[in-house]
Amino acid sequence: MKLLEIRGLEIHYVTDDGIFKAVNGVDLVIEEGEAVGLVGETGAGKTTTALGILRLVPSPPGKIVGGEIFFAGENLLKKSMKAMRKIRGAEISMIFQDPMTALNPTIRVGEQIAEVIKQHMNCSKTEALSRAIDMLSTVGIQPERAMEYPHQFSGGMKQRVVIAIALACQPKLLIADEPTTALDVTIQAQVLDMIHDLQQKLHTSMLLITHDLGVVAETCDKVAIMYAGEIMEYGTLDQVYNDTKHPYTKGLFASIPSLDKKAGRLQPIQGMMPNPSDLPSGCVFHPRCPRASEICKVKAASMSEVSGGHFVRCILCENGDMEGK
Amino acid sequence: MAKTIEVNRLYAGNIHRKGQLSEIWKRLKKNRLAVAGMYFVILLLLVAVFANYIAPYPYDKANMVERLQYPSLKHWMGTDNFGRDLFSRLIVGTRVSLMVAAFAVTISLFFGSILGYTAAYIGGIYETFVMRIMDAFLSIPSIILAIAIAVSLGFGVTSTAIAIGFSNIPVFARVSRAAVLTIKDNEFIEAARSNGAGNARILIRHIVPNSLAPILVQISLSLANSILVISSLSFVGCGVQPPTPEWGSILSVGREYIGDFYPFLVFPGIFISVTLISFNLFSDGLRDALDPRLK
Amino acid sequence: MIRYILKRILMLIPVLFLVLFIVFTINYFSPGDPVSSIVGAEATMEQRARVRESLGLNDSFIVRFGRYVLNVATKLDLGTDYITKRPVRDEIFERLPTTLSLTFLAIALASVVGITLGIISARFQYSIFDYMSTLFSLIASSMPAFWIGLMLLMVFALKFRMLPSSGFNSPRHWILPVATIAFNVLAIVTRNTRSSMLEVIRQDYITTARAKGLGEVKVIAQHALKNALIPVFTVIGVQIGRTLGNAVVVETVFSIPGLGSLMVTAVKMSNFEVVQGCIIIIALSFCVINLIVDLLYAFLDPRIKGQYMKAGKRTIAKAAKSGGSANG
Repeated sequence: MKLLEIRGLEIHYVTDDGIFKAVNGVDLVIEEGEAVGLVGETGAGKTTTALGILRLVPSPPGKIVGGEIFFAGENLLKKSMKAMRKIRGAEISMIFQDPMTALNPTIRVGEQIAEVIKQHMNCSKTEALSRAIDMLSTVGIQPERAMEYPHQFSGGMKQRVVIAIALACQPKLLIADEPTTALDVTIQAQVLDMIHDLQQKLHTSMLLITHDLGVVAETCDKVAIMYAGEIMEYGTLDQVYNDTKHPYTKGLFASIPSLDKKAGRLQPIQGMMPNPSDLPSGCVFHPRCPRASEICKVKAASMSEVSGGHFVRCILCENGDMEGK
Repeated sequence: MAKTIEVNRLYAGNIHRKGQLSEIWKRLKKNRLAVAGMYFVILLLLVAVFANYIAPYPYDKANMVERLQYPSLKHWMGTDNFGRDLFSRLIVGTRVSLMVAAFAVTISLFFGSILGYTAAYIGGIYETFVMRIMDAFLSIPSIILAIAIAVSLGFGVTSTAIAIGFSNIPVFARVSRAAVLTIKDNEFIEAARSNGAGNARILIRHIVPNSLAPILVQISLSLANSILVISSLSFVGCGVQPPTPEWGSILSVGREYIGDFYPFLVFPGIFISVTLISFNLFSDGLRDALDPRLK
Repeated sequence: MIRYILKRILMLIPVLFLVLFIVFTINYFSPGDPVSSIVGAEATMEQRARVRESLGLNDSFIVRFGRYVLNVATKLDLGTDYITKRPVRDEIFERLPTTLSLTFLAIALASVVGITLGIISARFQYSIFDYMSTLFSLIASSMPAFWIGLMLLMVFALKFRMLPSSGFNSPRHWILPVATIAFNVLAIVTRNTRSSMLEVIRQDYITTARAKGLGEVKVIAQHALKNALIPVFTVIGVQIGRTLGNAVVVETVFSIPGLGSLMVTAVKMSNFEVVQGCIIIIALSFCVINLIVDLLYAFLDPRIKGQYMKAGKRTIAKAAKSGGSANG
């Protein structure tokens, strides 16, 4: 069953310097209990998409311009703010990128967890606090540390607290926005394993945002590749990793060092991400695409299904001559 | 996103000095209030320089027949208790205020930045000693300190300027010291030192130009503050003395007519307020333009 | 915490000593001669010399300064008013409560109103209310306090006769002076609360709070406010000096018998002992108020509190360790 379905989502940031088109017609489906990886470079619009699902895009300057977001069959974009608040933290919750700034420095961590429990679970303050302490031990933090402030915790510990907050009400969907980017390499695996285990245990669906294809391979069922506010390729791990279609995705794989393959030189993708206030005409990837032709400069490609559940946004796939390579 | 672009530009600006200036100007221009403040400051400077030509009457020309007149075409802002044209007195007052303020800020800038630069650069006991004394100075509110110094010098234009100048030294010492400390440990200082540059050369070629921004802002802020303190001192009778036409001293005479003659009280206050507002708007804009990261 | 407070109080001593030194030095070089005001202009040279000797004016700078410091430190003796022949200390302490209450009330008023205005302004950024309050704070922060006082006097006391113009007997007398002194600080607090609030609202932990499903009121009151107020408190602390200075000037506008009017009168009469005493007491008050603000600051921000507590914790840990070894 589809838990989340995004159709044609468009989010713009309107500033004095121009309109930044962060998300341009994103389609994405997450089934119940499934983990989907959303992969892309910095500035591809991943975080904006995630904030858009919770309707937390900072406004002004951000604005959801178009599209639909169905969660459990209901369009979130049509909901009142009051109804949204009932969903945030209870049905959909989010783990933020930087645990250093995601916790309020002036409130004890126990209270920060208890707060979300009290908000949604209709219980007393003391009960909320005792459940918060349970949550802390679930993420491997000693209960007595509940009375401490965030500055007394290390980065990895803080991220555990953020995870505890996110999972405290057993949400149906967990959005993890680069949960390990800000952490030490040694801690990254620990935190990632913990998120993965808890997600499995609680049967939560997950949208994992990352720029690391390796992380996706370990934790996700499906993967969506995002570039300049659009989904370029979407499919199961097997489809995208072993039957890569889109030139951008191929470029991403070519730029990762591999332990098993003997390769001379890494091949970075030529050029830079386009400025979201001045996107190229036609296919947004054409200025960097090794296989771009004249038509790519004028005609934007649409999503085409190359095989069951494997979608690619490339003119080459529309025509079917992708098979050559 | 816009922030990163801005910061990148700033770094690019460091390479080309000229580019940096035009960048600062571009950022300043965006802030309309700051630009308005700047034009007003320029206008005030012009008024101060050409006061004698602008003022329709000599500021000290008494005329007992025409005393305490309300504003009219002949006397735009009325006349005072000696029948002197208030508008002319306020115009000349602009010159007095700005001159005293400029003199005062020159004193504070000179001594303050020497103390601040040397404290930051030499460090050690010298730094502790200087900064402790500055802290002590700062624990006396600046108006009070200025009154105290003015007392020992005797009242008048020069002593007011010296008093305010000295009371502002600690502020400049602090600002310049902080400015040096933030850049002292930067890598380009290290690089210059490894290239064999001596202390004096590093101080003059690298540290002084790079620490100018906060000091410039402080100069602008201090000018406003000095004008405020001059008028306050003169108002309570410890600053510029009548018959010199200073805004605060005009107000202190006007106070006696508070019940029945409003121009004497309203117009001088408007002159002071507009001056202070312009200087403060300009300073704020300058601060944001010089360092966008602070915003 | 107590250790920290004691340490801060001890640190005040050198600052106050330096203040004494500065003020005494300024005073020492003052041109006036207290002898003339004591014995009168017609006194003979011998009379003058005798008074000089008895006052110890012939001693060197160091000796005189030492004596002054000793008197202040041991007996809080600030010298004698040569005109009224009363101890300066008594004259000051009669008037100090008035000035301090004025300052305190003004700061309290400015903080409460300014923080409220700032929060509303930030919450409804770019609304008409925001524009009005930003414009007000831009203008009001730059208006000289004594002129605001004169204008308020002119309008409310003399034109509409709603409030008394001078005197200091009933609460109604306090309204105009307190409003006058509060004016600048109120504007500055409004502006800083607004910008600090806008800064905090953009922080990640506010998004976290919203992502928890908290309502807007809770987000602002429980998450944003405490963090936003930390820098505002610093600003208020900085403004206390200005407020004290304003109080001194504004007292003369409303003819309030406070420290300010005492000092201004003394200045005009070249009554240096009194001026000196006033400055020292004002500096002392300023330092003490700043200390209180710093402690409040620690109360608001657990990170700073943590720094103070660390020293204490270490001693506890040490004690526990030594206790353990004694047992073993």
